[in-house]
Amino acid sequence: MSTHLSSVKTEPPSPMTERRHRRIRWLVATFLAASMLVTTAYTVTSAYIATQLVQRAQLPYHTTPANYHLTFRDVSFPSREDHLLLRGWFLPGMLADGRMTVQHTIIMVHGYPGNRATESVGLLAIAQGFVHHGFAVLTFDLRAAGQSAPAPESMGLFEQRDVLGAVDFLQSGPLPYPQLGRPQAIVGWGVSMGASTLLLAAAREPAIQAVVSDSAYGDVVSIMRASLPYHSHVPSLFALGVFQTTNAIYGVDLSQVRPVDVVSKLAPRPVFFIHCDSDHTVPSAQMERLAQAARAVPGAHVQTWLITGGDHAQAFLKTGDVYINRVVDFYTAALGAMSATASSRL
Amino acid sequence: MAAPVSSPMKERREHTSLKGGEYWRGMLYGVLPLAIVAAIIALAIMLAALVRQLIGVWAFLLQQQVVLIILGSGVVLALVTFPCALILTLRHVARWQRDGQIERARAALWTLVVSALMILLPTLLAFVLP
Repeated sequence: MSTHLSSVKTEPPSPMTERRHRRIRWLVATFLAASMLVTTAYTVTSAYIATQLVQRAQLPYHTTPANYHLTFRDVSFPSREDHLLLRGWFLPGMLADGRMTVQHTIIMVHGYPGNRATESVGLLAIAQGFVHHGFAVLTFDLRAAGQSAPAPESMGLFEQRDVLGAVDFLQSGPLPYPQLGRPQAIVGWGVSMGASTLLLAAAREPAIQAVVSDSAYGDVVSIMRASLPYHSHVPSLFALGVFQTTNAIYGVDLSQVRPVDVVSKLAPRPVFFIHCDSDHTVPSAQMERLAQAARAVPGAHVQTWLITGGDHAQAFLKTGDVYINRVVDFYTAALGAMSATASSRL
Repeated sequence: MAAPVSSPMKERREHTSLKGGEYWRGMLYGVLPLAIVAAIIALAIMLAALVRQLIGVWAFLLQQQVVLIILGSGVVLALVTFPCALILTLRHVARWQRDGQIERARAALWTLVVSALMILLPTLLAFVLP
């Protein structure tokens, strides 16, 4: 035993061996420090991008329905489940004889970033078109948008609760025109993130009887992975870090935002997908994926409209009245066919 | 009184167990920097999750500030503690090398290399994964 102990403790190393040991220690320390620095830089950059994505300044709106000579009232209601305060406008539909109606009401859902009056997609001009065709409109700020409550933006994951809150409000909330009664039919219109959010909400809520989905994505992760270099000026290899830190810091699991997985649940309710073929943010292939998934079940009623030449969410600005007429025709056909069951459900 | 004579087999066994102990001790010191950083980060993430639950989304801005302070402090603390732990381990390694405890020093250094690879792994995965 004593022989072994003496063999463990040996003579001091020669200067050359000591130099070699020092060099090895230095190499290991440098490798470790470099690894730490690279990973820290990657994580901090990812966290910064995640913060930019999830927590943005709430955009104010500069126009109101009054700019479009529309009758409207301010409304507020809570989101379903987490009860965040949401604010919006309720616009009664105008019949040809000048009477107001809320019989058929459209919930309009804006995109990201945006609010209830997003001008870049002509949101209030679209609302004006609907109102003049006799449809009432509820347009509101999603969470973290306009005048609604601050919250993490989640590309539809949590925002679907806001759409469900809008349905609850129309069904049982204090409507601003009590003399007009309650809507007999509720339908949805959404653009971009709003469209994807609407699809997620409609899959859970049968009271939404028809959906117009303009420029929706079917799977947000693939879109964000592709658009990260363009929007955040970093290579797409940061995507994994961004998704992980978004989940770790904000509790937003973007991989769950997949309308393509639930869109088939809308059947037999009709769905109308609209997309521009030169969309650089959400490629039109996303519409094809969504339409294919929606048609995968028997009894599905799915229409698509691919518009030539427009960029992201520019369908209305590209086609104007044609857009309004096609959407109104779609709603009219949908509600005409479903009015008997709809009135009993509502 | 004759001194007890140890057999060559027993000597070899003792030598092996001594060597094993040396390795374990070296690895223990080698893993120290990574373990401390991992513990700090895990604690920060758990605290942040707890704060998110306690404050709730209705006070999102407050919640966010608190969460960012906790996570930021975690990162700063980890970045300060890591070099300290690394220097401590390397000092031990230098002493072991001087004292001829080569196995122990080697085990510590290899553990540090493995730690570096583990720290680098998430970033490497981000490069490699589609």
